[in-house]
Amino acid sequence: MALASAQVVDRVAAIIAAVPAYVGKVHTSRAWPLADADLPAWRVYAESEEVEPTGPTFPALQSHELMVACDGVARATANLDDSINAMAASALTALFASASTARLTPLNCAMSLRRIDREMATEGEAAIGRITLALRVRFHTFNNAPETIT
Amino acid sequence: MAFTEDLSVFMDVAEGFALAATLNGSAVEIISDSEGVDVFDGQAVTTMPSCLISAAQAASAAAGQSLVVGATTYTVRAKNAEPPDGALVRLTLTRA
Repeated sequence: MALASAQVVDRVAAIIAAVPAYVGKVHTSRAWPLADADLPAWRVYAESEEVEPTGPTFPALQSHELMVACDGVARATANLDDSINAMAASALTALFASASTARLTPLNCAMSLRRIDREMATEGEAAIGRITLALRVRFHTFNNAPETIT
Repeated sequence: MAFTEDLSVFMDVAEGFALAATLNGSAVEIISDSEGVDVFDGQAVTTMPSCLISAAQAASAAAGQSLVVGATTYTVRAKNAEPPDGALVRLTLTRA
């Protein structure tokens, strides 16, 4: 088991990694830079997480709102914007393919897309772009069981 | 006696550091450079390829032309005279 938010990140990453173009190219714990040969690739990681207790009892049921960032990075010498947009389209299609994927089954969550950001590098060959999918994932835990999504 | 610059010493393929290349279909000699560059706050690393070429051989060089060096084909992105006198020109490149 792992902290609930880590399970969410792993599940999101697994769904994107099931897209044939991204097999072996989705990273959840990679801190070192992606090289040209690694692209296209995704980094999936947890950003902020708000936790709100829903009552005074023990164990307290907690409502979590986790922001998950999915950074898609691609290299293209022409139509770079098309490349990163295509990455986003294929990932979103997989993530929201069904009610089951949107719930991150077997986890019991509610995932929604909150924002899409785009950036193109002007350094170097100016051939690398990044698209970030900001996902909001809501789920519940009990405060004495941080590794169990209820 | 006026100084006469001999750039062939710098662009010596046989004995020096220069490489034979083809710029827009014409044979040229270049000195290649490829600096590593971090992008997106270090999330990715790429290269910044460029080359030095004599102003005479770069006279017709322009953005969009191809430069073939060995098995690698580049596209010229920019052309800038090198200081102090512009005798050498730097072509900023991207791999095609």
